[in-house]
Amino acid sequence: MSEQYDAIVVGSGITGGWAAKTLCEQGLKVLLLERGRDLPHRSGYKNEMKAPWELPFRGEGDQAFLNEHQAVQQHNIHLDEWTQDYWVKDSEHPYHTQNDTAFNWYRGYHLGGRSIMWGRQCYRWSDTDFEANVKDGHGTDWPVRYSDLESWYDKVEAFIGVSGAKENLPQLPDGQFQPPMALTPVETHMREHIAAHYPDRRLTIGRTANLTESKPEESRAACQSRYICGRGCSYGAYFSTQSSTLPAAMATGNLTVKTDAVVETVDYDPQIKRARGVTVISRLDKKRTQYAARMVFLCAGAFNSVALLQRSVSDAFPQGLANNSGVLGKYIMDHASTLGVASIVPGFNDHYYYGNRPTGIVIPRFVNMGEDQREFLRGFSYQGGAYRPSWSRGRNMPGLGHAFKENLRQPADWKFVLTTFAECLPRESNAISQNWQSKDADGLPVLNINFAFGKNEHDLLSAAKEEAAAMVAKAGGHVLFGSDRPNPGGSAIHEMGGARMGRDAKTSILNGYNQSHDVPNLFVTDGAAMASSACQNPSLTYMALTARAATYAAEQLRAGRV
Amino acid sequence: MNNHFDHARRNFITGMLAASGLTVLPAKVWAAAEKQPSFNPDNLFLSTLCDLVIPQTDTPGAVDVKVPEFVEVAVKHGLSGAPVDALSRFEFALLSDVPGFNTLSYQQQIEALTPIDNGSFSRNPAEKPQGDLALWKAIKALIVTGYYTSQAGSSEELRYVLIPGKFDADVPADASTRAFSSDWTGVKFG
Repeated sequence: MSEQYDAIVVGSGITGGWAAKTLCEQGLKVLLLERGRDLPHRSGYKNEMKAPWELPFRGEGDQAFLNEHQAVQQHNIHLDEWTQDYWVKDSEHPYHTQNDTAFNWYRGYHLGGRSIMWGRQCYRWSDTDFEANVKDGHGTDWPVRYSDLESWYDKVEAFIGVSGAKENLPQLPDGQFQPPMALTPVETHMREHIAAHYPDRRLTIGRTANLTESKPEESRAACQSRYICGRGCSYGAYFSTQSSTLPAAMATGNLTVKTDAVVETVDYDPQIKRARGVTVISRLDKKRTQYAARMVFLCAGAFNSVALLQRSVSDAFPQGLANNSGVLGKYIMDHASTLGVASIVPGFNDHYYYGNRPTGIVIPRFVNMGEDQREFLRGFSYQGGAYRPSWSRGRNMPGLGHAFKENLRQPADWKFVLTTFAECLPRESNAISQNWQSKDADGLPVLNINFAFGKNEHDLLSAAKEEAAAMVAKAGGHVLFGSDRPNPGGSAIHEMGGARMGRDAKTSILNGYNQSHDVPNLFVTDGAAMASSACQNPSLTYMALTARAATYAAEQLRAGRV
Repeated sequence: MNNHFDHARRNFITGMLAASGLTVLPAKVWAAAEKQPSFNPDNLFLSTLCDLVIPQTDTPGAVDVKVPEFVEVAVKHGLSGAPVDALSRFEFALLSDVPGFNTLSYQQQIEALTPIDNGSFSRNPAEKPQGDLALWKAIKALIVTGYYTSQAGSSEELRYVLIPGKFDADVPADASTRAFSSDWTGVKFG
């Protein structure tokens, strides 16, 4: 007989942790399944405190190993020798791309998933974003608006701890912020000059899930300004499953966690027209086990949640579970990102900083808002900041001997950089599908990823490059470089869509509560649910949607409606 | 010293080739020389290069903190895109380009290496070093990395603070201010 739970949550990352916490606090007995290894808080962060000279490759990593086993993952800026064990081996978890397009799919298979290595930027969406699809006709209308999510954003921010500055911007609503981190003199200078020349543009400190005030009730200390977050943080100073949602879920006494548990399928019972549970392959001994539950939450990460549905085929759902609409796997997105501008800002070399701020700055969207109307659709925002280059510039500059060493002893001239994040339109042709012939190390069929950016994304990046250079120049900066060529899809690590929410069961997978139109006890609350991408980081919205959906699901379960 | 003997011999071979105008490929001659049992390669040449990039001053230099050992390991593992035989190829190329390099004084070696170093970072293709001299860029990158990620390079030459405990966005700086090797933004983005 299989073990019986009220709810199964597949995946322990940012949304899985939130689903588990919320469902457990609603009194449900929850099984949280993680395909990767256990990664205990604190003791699991084995490289956290190591200095470069304590690592065999001084932080650079073994390039030969990376080429053989992490051919894709190594391109991600968050991977280094300290953190590389948190990123999958592409050699064990390959995927295919089609039509000569590149897609860099960055993943972490361990307890906590990418909540361990994420960029921590937390931005609310606004109705500019939720209404975009219905206004210009790309994608289907979101079944939710800002007013549906506002109180959930409040709850999530208050719990995870988000530091930031209130700016009263309609396109980037303020939240429940801890005190903001400080701007450097160059960033303040840029903020002032940008505001003077462009009254509708605002440079503000990045809103980040790093604590500026400790949360002793959750055993979380304030940020120590190390900015080595991606190694895991024993202070619990940034939000991760381990630091935040998992302890809360465990404290209820209602949570069971199983790691090394690869969910092969969600199992459907045609008699009751419900999911009855899941089948799990042990990562270690490859044995299969079934777990039963009254409802199932998919939080495996957008593409993996979609893939799980696609391989959960049955007579009732031959094209994938919950796919009566036929849109499962389609309309995937990732922000089109590139280095919008890199510049030198002269005149500040009598200023430096102490400590490492674990966030940059953000310039929220300003195009296609108010009077700034453009030929292209939607918008872009920038993230970046100012800093003084350290020794590594010596790898890319001429110089030898005493003079060279003397030069590198000092921090270099201030640099100011802006990375562009452009909204990605939902397109049917951007899709993932099962490659049934090839299997990964866990025995699952691998994914085909077919993805390309279109003209609108290129137009957005082109405008962003132009605007970034103009803003920097007006503030007295010297532009060194700017790009309007998108990095490969996936580079923003904001892959999303594939099981989109919508008002119409014929054109979407999920309703306004992240609930399957076809299978009422099945919920998908990670990035797969997204019907559009906006241009801001999506994780906070995933969390708000998850907390809202899990609360709704528990109510429905109690009422006997799922 | 075997090292000096071998380097002198290489220079001799290189010089002979240049003087005689032989059409024999230098690589073949050198390959034959490599097979001689008396050849005992070590990292003297690499140590010379390390010393030319980061000498000992009031803080240890690259050789003091064993950067040559790091570079040898790094090259074997392809760091900075260096091919596994980068060091021997560059050595041969440099000694072909500058016969007698090993007999020059430190300052003369700096002067001899400077055009190659400048050209390696030039945007003008005509100034780029040719052939295996182009390996200098990767080798130099590894020397720089090896030094500033060593304990002394990180924390004596520069400042290494693992746990700052606070972020002060604006502190005064002047020409004597030392960079932080633990400023991960300043290191990662350079």
